[in-house]
Amino acid sequence: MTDDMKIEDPAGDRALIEVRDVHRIFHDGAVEVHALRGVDLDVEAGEFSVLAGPSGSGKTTLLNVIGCLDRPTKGTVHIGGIEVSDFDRKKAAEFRLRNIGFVFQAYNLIPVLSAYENAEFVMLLEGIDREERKKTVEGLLSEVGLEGMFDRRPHELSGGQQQRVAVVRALAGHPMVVLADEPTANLDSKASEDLLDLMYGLNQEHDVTFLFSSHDPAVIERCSRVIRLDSGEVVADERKGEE
Amino acid sequence: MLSLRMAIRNLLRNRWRSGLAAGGIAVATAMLIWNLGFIDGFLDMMVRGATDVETGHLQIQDERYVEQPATMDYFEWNDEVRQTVEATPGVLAVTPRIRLFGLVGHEERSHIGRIIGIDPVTEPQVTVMDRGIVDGRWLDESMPETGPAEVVIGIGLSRTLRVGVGDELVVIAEAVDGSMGDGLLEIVGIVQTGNSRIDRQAALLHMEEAEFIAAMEGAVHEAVVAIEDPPDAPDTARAVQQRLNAAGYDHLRVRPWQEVEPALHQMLLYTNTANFVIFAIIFFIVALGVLNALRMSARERYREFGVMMAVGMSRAKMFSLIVIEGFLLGVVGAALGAGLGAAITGYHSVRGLDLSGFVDGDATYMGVSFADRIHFVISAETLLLPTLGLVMVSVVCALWPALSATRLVPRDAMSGRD
Repeated sequence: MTDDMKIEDPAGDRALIEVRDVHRIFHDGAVEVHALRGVDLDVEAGEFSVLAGPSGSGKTTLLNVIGCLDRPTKGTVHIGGIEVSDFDRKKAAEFRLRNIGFVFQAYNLIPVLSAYENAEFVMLLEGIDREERKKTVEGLLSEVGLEGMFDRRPHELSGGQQQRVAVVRALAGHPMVVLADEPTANLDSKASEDLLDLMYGLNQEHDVTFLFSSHDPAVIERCSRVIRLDSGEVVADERKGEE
Repeated sequence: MLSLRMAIRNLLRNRWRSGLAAGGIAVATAMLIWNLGFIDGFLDMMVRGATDVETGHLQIQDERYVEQPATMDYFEWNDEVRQTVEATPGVLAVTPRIRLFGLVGHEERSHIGRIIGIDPVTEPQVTVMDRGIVDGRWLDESMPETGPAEVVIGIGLSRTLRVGVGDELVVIAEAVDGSMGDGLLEIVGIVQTGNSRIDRQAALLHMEEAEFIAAMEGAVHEAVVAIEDPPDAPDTARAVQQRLNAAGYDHLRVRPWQEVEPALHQMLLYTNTANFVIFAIIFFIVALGVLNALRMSARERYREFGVMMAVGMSRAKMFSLIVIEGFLLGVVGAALGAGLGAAITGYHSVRGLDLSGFVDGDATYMGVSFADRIHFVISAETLLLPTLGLVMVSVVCALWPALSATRLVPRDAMSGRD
């Protein structure tokens, strides 16, 4: 990892993401909720994987812990060989900025920024120069079929188009991994299919690791690896093509 | 640049709310500028009424006269003293005076009067008494060779004694040797200055005549000095004092107008304090409105803030984004208010504000008559103090929502739990 927290050698001889005995306990008044119970997981670079399971199974919590948006109550998470589970808020923010792209269920674009500005948002935070931003963002937006819509605000785009902008935002900073939390939940079947095609293409073309959390059969169908969770535990880990 | 762009667009998201907050700042700014212009105009009238008409900016007296004014506590007025004072940097002019208290009478009427011996040539270089002539003329440069000496009296005194230009007056006052001196004078002018001590009691006559009445020669009770920068009178007074001391006149005391007119000076200080309180109250009221607008605006965007922090925005950038919004709101509101306030105050500085409906024509305060029309004073300070103050208020109001935003947990903010 460089001084600015960018992972240069994503895996080496280790998995890109290593989750070891991760527990996450939430406190709701006097009640303790065990969202994760001793999760162990390795995700290799370049995978197109999904955390699947019913609501409350711990998918989103695990994604948040891997994405440095939450800290485990117990256990460790390494990304690119770096332990991220003990990062403070500042380090976590810096690490997310440099290495992780996010796609959220509700698109979560910034309403006052255009499609182009939303897409370049992460690059701006990274301090990447204007020319490089322009080249990357225009290329990616065109690649996802949004040419001619650069100046549109989120409310002027359909749900599918907004999610495409969100994907471009996630990818624009050249992250090692994109974490997508229920990315198709607000989309119709056609838009979901198109988005999955797009992300799979980007995974193949840009060699970016994608890790979804979803209970959408369409997502589960398209992913090459399905990690099933139930009650905060990994109950199955299926790699397609491995019988 | 990103923060600035986002801040502008965020403010434009809810134009009514931002407009009302900026409007509140604008109205408050304009009101404070107008209020300062009015107060400064009023104080300027008071200070000028006192210093320009009678007190001057500095006064030089014998130290005994300062302690307890008495006719016999005079000092020698010679070229060395005059030149020493005039040579001090910042001094514009100096004029000597003899001050006597006595009776001024005409036929069967008499009244206590301030009998002031002046130099008709140098007095107008220091005060504006000569410009207050409403009937007749100012004293001639020299005493008439024959007949009664000339006198100019205040308009109030002329009414009390029922005299006018051409009438004769008799003055009786204590001389320095304890005897009673008197003089026969002819009224050549009636003066109205707005200073009640002059208008109601003064009889202005040539130095030579006053010397004759008081039986003193080559001596005066005070020298009055005009300087370039009246607010800096204390500094100039110290400079004149040092030079007089060095010349061997250390029995003379040089006092700035702030010391000669302590009540007036105290009033200025009290007014500044009152202004401070008014400012604080208005700032507080504006702050409530701005704080409400910024905090509501921030709270509505917690989900957005969560996303921005999730994708890597630092807390410092998040903080600055909201502070910039507060700053912009303040700048826009204060700039509009400054324009409005400058226009109205500028108008009243040129045309004056007619207060004739509120002011009794004979009313005076601390010896200065209220004018029917107050001319506001507009200055860089008048404009900048409220303008910058309210921009600061707006920025300070942004600190709370900004701090709250930086404390958000992205995970919770995105899910709407904050």
